[in-house]
Amino acid sequence: MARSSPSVYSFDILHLTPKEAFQKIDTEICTIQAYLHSLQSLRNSLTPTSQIPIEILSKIFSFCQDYGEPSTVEHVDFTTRLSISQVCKHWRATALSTPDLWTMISISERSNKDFIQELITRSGSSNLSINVVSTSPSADVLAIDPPALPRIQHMRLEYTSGEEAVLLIDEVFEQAAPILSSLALSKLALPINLPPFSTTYPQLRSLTLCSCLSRNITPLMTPTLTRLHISRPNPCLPVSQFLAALVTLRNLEEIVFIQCFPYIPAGPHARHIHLPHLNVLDFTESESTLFLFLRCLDNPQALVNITYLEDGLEDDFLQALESYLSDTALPLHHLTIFNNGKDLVVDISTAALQRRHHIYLPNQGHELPEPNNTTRILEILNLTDLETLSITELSKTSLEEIAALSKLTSLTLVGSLMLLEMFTTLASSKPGSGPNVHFPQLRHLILSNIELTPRHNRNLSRALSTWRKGGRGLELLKFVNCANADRAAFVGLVDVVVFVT
Amino acid sequence: MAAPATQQIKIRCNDEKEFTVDRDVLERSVLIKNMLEDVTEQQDAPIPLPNVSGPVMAKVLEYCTHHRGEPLPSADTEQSQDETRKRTTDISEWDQKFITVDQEMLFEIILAANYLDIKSLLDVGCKTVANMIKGKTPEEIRKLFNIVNDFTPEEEAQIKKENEWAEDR
Repeated sequence: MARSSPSVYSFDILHLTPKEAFQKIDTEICTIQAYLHSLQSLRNSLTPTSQIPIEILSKIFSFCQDYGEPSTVEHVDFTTRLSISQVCKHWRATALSTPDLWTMISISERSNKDFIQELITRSGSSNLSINVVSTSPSADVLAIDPPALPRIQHMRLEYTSGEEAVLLIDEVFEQAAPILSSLALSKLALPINLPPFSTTYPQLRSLTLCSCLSRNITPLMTPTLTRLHISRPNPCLPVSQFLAALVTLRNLEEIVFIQCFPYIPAGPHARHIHLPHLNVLDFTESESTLFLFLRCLDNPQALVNITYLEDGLEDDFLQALESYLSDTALPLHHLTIFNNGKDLVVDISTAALQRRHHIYLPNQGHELPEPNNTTRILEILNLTDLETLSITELSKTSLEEIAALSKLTSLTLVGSLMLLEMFTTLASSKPGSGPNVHFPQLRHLILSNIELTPRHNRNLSRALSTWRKGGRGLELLKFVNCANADRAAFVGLVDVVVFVT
Repeated sequence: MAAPATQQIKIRCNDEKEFTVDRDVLERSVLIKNMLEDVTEQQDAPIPLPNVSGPVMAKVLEYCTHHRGEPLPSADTEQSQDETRKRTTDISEWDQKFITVDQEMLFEIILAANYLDIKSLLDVGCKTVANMIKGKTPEEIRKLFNIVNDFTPEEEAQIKKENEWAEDR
């Protein structure tokens, strides 16, 4: 016989006034609800995640947060952390007592001050990574509890509104941040009398200045810097002062120059630059400037990673690159070329490029003629060992070439629904020649900035389902800023599905 | 000249299952390594491991055998490794295949790694669970781990408030 409901039979309300009856029933409901919650908690205590010690569950939670320098993507991805704290009482208690889970904090004018304070409290004494995105970089936006300032390890301040940089008020830099190791400033005007970073930020390793205005950059150039990223500096900065400051940074391992001309030491008039540890160079300048800069370095052999981003790769550039690589025998691991879709005659199949693991070939949305540059680069460089590839627009033929790469494990499709369509078509079909399947070793698929439709969700899901049935499956499917990506469509088809918005 | 014989150690699990294993394999476990160092004389009696069952120990030994000879984390490197650990939930291909087990076994392995003090195995287990959690909603996580919502209305209200705050970030 079915068990009767306790609420109906356990007490009599007929002799009570309506008010008394409501009170009595409400009390009974509360009692039953409390009993229900205790039963639910008891049930949860039997699950495997409750059997493991709290410190282990806490350790698992710590792995759920990205660490390091703030970037827009990492900071936007707050969902997992909130989700963890909203599963059940046990998980919530553990999450709230796991400081590492709450160390990356994003702040904007819209941020709720109480919530920011709550996150800082939850982070305990752990090091913080702060990302401030503001339309007015006032100290008010930095709603950081002053005792928390010494805990900031990474900080990024970005002014997002309007074309002109705005003045960053002095107070932001007045307080010392003894463990600050990376600082990124974007579209900010720096006060002329900044205290030297070597005293306020003695541990500073990485400095990024994007479209910042400064008349005096010397206080920022602290000898501890190992990474310097300068993009679009304002002309009010004297060139001679910048170059003089740059050559003092003997510990630099990585330089990123984006549209920095004429602040790049280059040519016979430039100083001889001794940067013995420099191994990463990221360059968005004219090709001649790149080589002039390279030739100023007295020890370019340490370079293992060159990124060159520029609209319009000319034949001259590639010839010069080949020549330079041959002369210097740089042990490059990564070569990244940004190509705007012009026809190229590419021939950089030099022995110096022996370990080609990553090539990034976006072409800024241009439709490419056949045969296009990507195919040519893949052919000419003989990139049969390519493991990681990020692409935007491509022709179908080019994607077929890529689908045949036998060592490709990670593919990122950026900004093109057409590209996704071509991918799903290829993924669902068998190749006419080459390997037995398209993308034979693909394990990670990342879709970035693609607005999906139900049909595209369905088609991708169907393709991955076919893969899974065929005994092969993706380990990671990541949607970065992809509108309308349907979470439910991929459950069970991929080991890990990540959504970042 | 023949290679010196590797010392064999016997262990006994809580289900009486016994294993005889090369010492260097067992020493992946800091707990067992310390036990062996404390024993000065050759001992024939098996080392009792009351917190580990035979099937789980078999998996643990599979891991230890594969990783035998690799350097163990020292106290000096612990902190820097922790920092590296925080930055990645990447798991090597072999470890991924090894840890592809049902959920019950996964948590048993984590518990065993914790008890036996095998840090690298504990990390692999924890990263695997973290990767299962990443990107999921609370309801999806509950479904995955057979958990029910046991929040009181007051706690639900607090959570709702948090979500509203988070939307304003």
